[in-house]
Amino acid sequence: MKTITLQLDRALIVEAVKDDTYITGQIDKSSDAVKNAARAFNEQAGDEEHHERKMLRTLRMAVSKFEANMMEFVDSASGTIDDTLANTTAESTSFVITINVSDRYSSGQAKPLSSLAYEYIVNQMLFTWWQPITPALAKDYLAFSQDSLTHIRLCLAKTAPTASSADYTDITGTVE
Amino acid sequence: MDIHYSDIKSKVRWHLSNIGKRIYSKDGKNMFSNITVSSVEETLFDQYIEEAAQNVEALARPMVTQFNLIPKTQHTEAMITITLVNTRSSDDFDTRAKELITTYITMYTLQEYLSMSHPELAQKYQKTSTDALQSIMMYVYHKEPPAQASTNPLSITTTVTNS
Repeated sequence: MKTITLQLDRALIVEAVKDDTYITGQIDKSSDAVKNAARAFNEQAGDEEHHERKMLRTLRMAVSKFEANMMEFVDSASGTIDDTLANTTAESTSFVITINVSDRYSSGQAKPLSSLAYEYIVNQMLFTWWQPITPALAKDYLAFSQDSLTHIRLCLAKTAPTASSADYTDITGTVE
Repeated sequence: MDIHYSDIKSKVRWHLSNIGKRIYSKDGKNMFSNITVSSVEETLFDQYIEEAAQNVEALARPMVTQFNLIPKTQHTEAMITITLVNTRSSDDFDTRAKELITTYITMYTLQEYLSMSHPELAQKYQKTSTDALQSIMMYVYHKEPPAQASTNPLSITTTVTNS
């Protein structure tokens, strides 16, 4: 069995959500700064306490969805998925997701897997953020997260089975 | 932030004095005494100042954590106290917001005062006060860019171990 350990950072994920919503808010303001001032202010995620709490809730949900999607790759015998998200603090925001998979998964795909997991979680959070505000935009983020998931699956493609130490010519039969 | 009524009234008087110097009636009489106000008439301004302050409070309501109209006492001046909390504001937020709010209240007071006797002059101040209120709207409902996380987005790591 192999253990994939994804090291992620809560602060980095939340910053990505804030960056994206900030840019969209600024674009909205550029069309009519007065009319859209309050709208942009409210759609730009953070740093109000209720915004931060909503982002933490959606982060938890996005990580859980990611883990649920990873279940099909978990080693069937003793595989588990776990994360340390609940243990993060303001000082130390990093957390890990550990996935136990079969020996046949390629270690070479570890790097893209982490980037794609990060993108998946961020885009899932953005999907949830925009859903009640601009559903059309939310659909775009849902599509982005599904695209990340497609590529995550590709990263987890099984390698060829390990060759047996025995050869086919070794097969023998005896008649007594 | 604290905004004293006396500061607003002083600015209003300054504007009215400048307007009065330049306005003449059809028969060529200077309108200075007609436009400027006596200290008794100035009590009218209190009502206008309070209306304008309440307009600001209503506009910025989600960010207002404290708002009071404090009347004049024997020892203290009448003043507006308002606290605005913007979690992603620039460092000079309080200073700039106070300037904008003071300008709006001044323009609103002028607009209301002039509309009683010189509606043609009031129009200019009505537009200016509307513009000032919009500036407050744009300023207080503005977020600075989000703070950067200490982690580099390119440093995300994954490890795979055999177990």
